[in-house]
Amino acid sequence: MTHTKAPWGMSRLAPYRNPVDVPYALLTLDAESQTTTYRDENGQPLASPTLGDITATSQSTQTGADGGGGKPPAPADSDSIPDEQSD
Amino acid sequence: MHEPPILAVTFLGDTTADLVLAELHGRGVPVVRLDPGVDFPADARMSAHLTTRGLSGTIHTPTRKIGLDAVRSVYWRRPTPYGGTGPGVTMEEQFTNSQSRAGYAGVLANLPGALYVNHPWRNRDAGYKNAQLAAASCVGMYVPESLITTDPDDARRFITDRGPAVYKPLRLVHLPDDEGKGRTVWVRVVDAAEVDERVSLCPHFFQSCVDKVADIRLAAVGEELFATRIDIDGDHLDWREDYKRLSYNPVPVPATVRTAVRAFLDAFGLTFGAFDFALDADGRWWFLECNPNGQWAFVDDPTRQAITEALADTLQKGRT
Repeated sequence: MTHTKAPWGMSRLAPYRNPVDVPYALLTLDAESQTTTYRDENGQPLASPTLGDITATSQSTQTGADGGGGKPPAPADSDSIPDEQSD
Repeated sequence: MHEPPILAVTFLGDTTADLVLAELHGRGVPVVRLDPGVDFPADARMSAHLTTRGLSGTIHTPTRKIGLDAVRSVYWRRPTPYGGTGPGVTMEEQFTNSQSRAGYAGVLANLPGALYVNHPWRNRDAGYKNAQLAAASCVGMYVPESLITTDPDDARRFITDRGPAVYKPLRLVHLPDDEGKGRTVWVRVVDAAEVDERVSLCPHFFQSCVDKVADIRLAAVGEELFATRIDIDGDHLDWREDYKRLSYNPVPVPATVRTAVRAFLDAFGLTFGAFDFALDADGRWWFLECNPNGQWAFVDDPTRQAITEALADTLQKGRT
């Protein structure tokens, strides 16, 4: 199925305002608490992102999906999406 | 640690889930974090053994080992999607991805005795706007009239007869522009003259616009409800557009809304739900949508802490 035409709803796309710059370079798992550790480019731990950066629309602060980046947020219904074909 | 663990299924960097995991860790409750689409197969492995006695077996993560028959609760947040199986994907990838989705997700969604907050398949079922609106009406909420259509004439007629009306996508959209900057569709009033033939290319969702004085975000965690009034400093309709111009104030939940929210959650088999309401000048709460796996940590500090604790309580308690 190939769609070359853009549906009308796409004409309503607009950028996020006030995109959030995400300061970390690397994420690692804290083995003890199983929470995320944010690290800079030298691998040094950073403070966790401020909670004001967490929005309802998109995914916390990951890769700027909060408002800035082009990478889509992890969908709220991921892995509940059925395969294209069932048997 | 012999206490049965809580399994958190989500991506690394899920700051919202981290709040709950930190709370549980502080209580001494064992937690195992897993992002199946990323951790398997390099860093994690699974064997699920099915016999007449039921399911047993283990998942090894990089830092933990968890017995599949010993999980107390599952906090199902936002795991990284498995890869696709469509055009452009190699046969090896197609095979791996389809088997992964069925195998990992199938096992993780069927852990015996575990409480799911929420079950991913319940999230999926509750994620459809038409199902939500029907259920909300059924449980006695005020629901704005809505239209899902591929017919431009019907769209124009709806906007004229039931307007002012808004257009919303049926699913959250995140599409970058040519420079890679994130874009989405914000909820805005639509004029009948704006609608054209391109509405016929896929279903489009139109809804009567509630004449609101404020928005309300309500997080429901089991029996506990946390409602926050959101006021916008600006004239845009969609509060999500600009978080820097919002103020949050906790508000009590009217008894009728409380009852309806409970019934809504029960109808979809949900433990958690993030509801959006529009508050009108007469104090009516109009149901806009429920995000069964919605974000909740962006509100004021005391409410955030209260929701964190309520989720931790629920997960710690497990099935009772």
